[in-house]
Amino acid sequence: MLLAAVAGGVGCARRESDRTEAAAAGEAQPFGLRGRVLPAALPKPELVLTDTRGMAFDLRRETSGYLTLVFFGYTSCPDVCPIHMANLGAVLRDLRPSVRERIKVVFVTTDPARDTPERLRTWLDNFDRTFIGLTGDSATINAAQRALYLPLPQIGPADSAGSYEVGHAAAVVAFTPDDSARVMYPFGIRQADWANDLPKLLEIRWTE
Amino acid sequence: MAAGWVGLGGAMVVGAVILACGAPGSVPSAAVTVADAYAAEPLSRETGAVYLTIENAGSRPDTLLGASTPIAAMTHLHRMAGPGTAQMRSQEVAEVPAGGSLRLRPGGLHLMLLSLTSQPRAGDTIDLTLRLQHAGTLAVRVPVVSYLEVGERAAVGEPVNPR
Repeated sequence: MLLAAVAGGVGCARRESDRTEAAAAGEAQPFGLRGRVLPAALPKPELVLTDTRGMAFDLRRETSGYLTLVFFGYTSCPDVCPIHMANLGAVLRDLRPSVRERIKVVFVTTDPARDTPERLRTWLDNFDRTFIGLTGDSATINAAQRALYLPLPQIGPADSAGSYEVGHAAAVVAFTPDDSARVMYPFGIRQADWANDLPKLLEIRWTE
Repeated sequence: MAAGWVGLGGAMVVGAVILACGAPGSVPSAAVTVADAYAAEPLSRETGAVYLTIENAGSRPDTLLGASTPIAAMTHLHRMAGPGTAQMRSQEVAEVPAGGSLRLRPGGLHLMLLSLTSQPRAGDTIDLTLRLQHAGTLAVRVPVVSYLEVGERAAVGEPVNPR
């Protein structure tokens, strides 16, 4: 299965490496990964927030042993957030169920003032009904981003309608089943890159 | 002809704009033209985003001053700032260099539509009017595409977040 995916993707990979920063960086990556492999693994941060059912959600406990894709963003985001989520939703739909069931996607809001559990659920359902949405207090959310060396969110100025935008890290963080962050997926990563990497992230035996 | 479509109903506007523009997304025999316009299918009525390229074949720079569309109460130009972040800065205007182009694209400079009056779906077309300092107003028909397609387009071309 892996071999077929690698062989089938070679032609595309070359073209994409010319065209995307992410894939270009991926050319020198170990295991043929298209995401950016971190120089050192990072532990899954301790993070307890509120999920879209309004229940406490302990990231470490609820996602232990899963390939866990964590993204910090917000539902009013014009392109980076919905593109990442749409790509993941589409790619996960095409995975074999035995692969798909080993992956969890967690969307943590950087805009807790507006992103209520209900709003997160409605927005995430555009992409996949199983995507986990988390909200809570900013200090807790920021601490998790700091632990992952992500730039902290910045609330932009409100316009005359009271609408504002939120600057945030543009990368999806992949925690492999050993509960370590190993690879980051910057904005610009494509469906083909995810389809290439996700099965590998479940199989790779990291040496450190 | 441009004045003719102002009072027309929504269904008629599209046809009138075709006549005014010659071809969708371009203005014949003008130094400044618009290409590759598309909008992301909005997920709510709060915001939408439009991407396009303004090409300036002329010998003097032009400036994009603003834009309007019947489907949004307001439009803003935004730019992402800083590598690796989606931090957005509002900006008033953007230059279209002489003999060059201004590219609005996902992850970069983009036109935000705010407070939508309707929520177009993928496959629909929205009307957009760009206002430039020298070229005046340009009417553009903008196809609406899904975020999956926006994502594919986002990954084409030079790297995002070049600075």
